[in-house]
Amino acid sequence: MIAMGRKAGHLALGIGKAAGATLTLIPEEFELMKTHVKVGAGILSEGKSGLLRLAEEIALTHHERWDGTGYPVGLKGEAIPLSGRIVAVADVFDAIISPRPYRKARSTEEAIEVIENGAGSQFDPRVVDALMAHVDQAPSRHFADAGKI
Amino acid sequence: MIVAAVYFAAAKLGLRLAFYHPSATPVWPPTGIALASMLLLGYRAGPGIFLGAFLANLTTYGTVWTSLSIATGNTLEGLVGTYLVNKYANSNKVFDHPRDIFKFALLAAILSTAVSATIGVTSLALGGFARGADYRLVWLTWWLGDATGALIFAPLLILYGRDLHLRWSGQAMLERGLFLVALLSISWLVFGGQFPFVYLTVPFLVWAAFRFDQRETAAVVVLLTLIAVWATSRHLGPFVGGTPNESLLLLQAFMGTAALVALPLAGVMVERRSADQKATDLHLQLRGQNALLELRVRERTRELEDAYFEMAERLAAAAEFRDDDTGEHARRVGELSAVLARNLGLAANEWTPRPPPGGTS
Repeated sequence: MIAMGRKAGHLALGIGKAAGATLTLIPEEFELMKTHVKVGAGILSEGKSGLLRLAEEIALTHHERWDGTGYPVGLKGEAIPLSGRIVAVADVFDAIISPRPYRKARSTEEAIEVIENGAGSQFDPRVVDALMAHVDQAPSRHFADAGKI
Repeated sequence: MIVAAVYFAAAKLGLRLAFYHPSATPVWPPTGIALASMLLLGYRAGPGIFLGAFLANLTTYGTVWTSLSIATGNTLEGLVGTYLVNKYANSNKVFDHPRDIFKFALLAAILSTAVSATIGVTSLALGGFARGADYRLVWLTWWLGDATGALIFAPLLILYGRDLHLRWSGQAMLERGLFLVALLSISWLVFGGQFPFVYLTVPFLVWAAFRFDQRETAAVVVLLTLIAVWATSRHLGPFVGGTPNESLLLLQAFMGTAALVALPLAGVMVERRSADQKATDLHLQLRGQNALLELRVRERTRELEDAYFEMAERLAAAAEFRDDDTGEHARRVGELSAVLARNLGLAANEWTPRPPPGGTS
């Protein structure tokens, strides 16, 4: 799962975000942007291999929220596949500490604060704990290269 | 020179086995020596045979002229026999196949020996050493003596001449020791007169043919022959007939039969063993090939798996081309997700796909 998961996450985000980016030329149209999840999952759908099916699952569910207010379906809690819950945390965390055309990269501390605040509402608390354990163990390792794109 | 010396010694020994006429013995080992040396060394052994035969005859009886004539007959016999065996019976590999062994019996033992008998007995008669009335009888014993000599001694010499190396394990030594003790005991019973049933020796020939190699079987035939001749010359055993002539014929029939039963049987066993060996070798080769194939398949499978993952990554990378912002981002999210999964205690292959929620397709 771990080796395959890394690749699946990579693939899901790669295709999903690319699809999203194509649709978010006008970023104000948030509703339209939400559809990138379905477009990405659609590209990955009906795969026969474990890798593609995991990628589809991730593409489809990583914007769901723990409290059920996410999209595209509004799944709640354990109903969200674990893969989606994990990638949701990783996606937001990395997004915060990466620079964007419209803003600078923010610090790891800020990212941790955002994630911790979202525990139980946006994120699965267990996954948040796993992130904290990782950040405590290797505070600088993962994000040393986050600044450069 | 060595051939001459060996021939000479064998002839002198052979003459001591004679019990009817000094030059007509029940078995004439020099015929076997002549055939074996020419089949192994080629026709260049001819002069040695001539010299040995000449000296042996000269020192036994007769004149220079009869000795020269008899030696010519003996040498010619070897030459004719060797020529025929080289041409029709697989040369010195003659004992490898039963069919060639029977050809050997016909060509070398029966046909070519008539040459020596005819020249030899005629020389003796002309020299006045055998009476004309005895001519046919002396010719017959001469001929049969040479024939059995070829049949009994040539195989031993040719087989050992081609391969002298002994391969005996401790167990093989034990069996051969046991065999020898049993054979000598039975010989004593049979030829000592206690129990004159000569067919009791047959199981020993079969034992030798089945359990030992062909050379050893030939040696057993020689041993049995020597015992039989020695016993009969002392008027012991089942071959003692009413007349010396009868004894001779019985003895020669026994020796010829023994050789023609044991040697082909041993030949068949050799063929069988080598066929078995070949089958085993092929089997092992097949297993080796299978193992190799399996290894190849595993290698190829791994290569395919690697290619598959690599393709997936390239596909993701291609998708990211559209989107500089999320390119590296996606890779890092994948890596971080893997770390989180590990921290959550998930093991490899723990993920099982669920049906997509909400019926999205």
